[in-house]
Amino acid sequence: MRSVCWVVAVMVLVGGCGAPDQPGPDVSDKDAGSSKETRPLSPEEQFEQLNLDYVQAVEKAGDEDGLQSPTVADQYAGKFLELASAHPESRTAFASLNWVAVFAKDPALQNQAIDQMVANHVDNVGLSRLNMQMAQKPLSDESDAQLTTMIEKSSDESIRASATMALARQLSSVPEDQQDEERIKSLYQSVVDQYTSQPRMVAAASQALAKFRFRIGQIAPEIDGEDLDGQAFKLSDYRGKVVVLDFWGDW
Amino acid sequence: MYPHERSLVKQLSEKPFALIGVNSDSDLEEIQGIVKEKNITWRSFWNGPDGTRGPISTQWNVSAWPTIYVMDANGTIRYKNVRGAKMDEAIKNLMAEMGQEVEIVHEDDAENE
Repeated sequence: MRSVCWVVAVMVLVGGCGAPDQPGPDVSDKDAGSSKETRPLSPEEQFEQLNLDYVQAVEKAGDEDGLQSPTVADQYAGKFLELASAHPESRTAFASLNWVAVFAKDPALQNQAIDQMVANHVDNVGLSRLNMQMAQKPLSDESDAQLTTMIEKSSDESIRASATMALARQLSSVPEDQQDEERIKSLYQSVVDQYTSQPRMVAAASQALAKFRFRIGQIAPEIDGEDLDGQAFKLSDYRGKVVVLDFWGDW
Repeated sequence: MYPHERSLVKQLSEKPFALIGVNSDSDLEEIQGIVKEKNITWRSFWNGPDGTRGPISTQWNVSAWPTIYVMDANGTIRYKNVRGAKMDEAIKNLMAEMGQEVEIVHEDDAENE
């Protein structure tokens, strides 16, 4: 049962990002059709078939989620990459590359797929979704180059905005004292300035920018509040002293 | 935590030093009771009835408790999330910048914080 849901999940995932142009062959046809296929499979059909084969291979390995079968995923990644390069500009190619970007375990395979997505499909809105995933990954020279290219080359605003956010997030994932603060700030600032059509990203970018005010080396912003007895006081009342500010709770 | 902080406040009472809390409990009456009961000798802002979602912690991007910021005499943020011996070290360094050499020695239960 789980694997069935899983197949659906793959279809949905891929479907949203530049689906095969036609629906794949009905599964029941396949079950009935023990007679040999006479015509070659279309790229879309090859994609669906690879998907099904992969799920079966993973099942056979006794691992329905595929999480424990990196070699199976990477083996199929190779097949999807082949399918993509046979029809490099097609929507099937994008779907295949996206499969590799999402499911391959080997970063080299992922990078190969994403490089091709950027080279041949820089306006495919499926990249926005990929970028949300890229935002969670650690920074690498490859991802820096891929995201930078999307920002420079894509004509789609949601792709440029999401690539900018993803790059800023990746740059922020290294320890604070090693970050390229100016670059991170200017990326977030460009989202705020340029992508007003993407209000959620603008909000996230301004929030991220606000955090820089609380970094080491910044003057602490004022706190103007009340103590536990209701008496007003300010943080700046303590200028001239070393201050430990302790956010605490008794729970 | 409380013994370490209490010890710091006591030892540095004659020095240009302040420990300021931002209390993030939502129930003010309850926390007033706790302050008395546990002998919390330092002043705290109250983060308001929304507790951990109150305005001060939100503005300061605090999402984990406790969170510590240490400011120098100019109000510049110099250290974050230093605790125990590291907090003592941070305070000593910033005091030294002001020409104040301080010794910080804790008794028993405050020692291992």
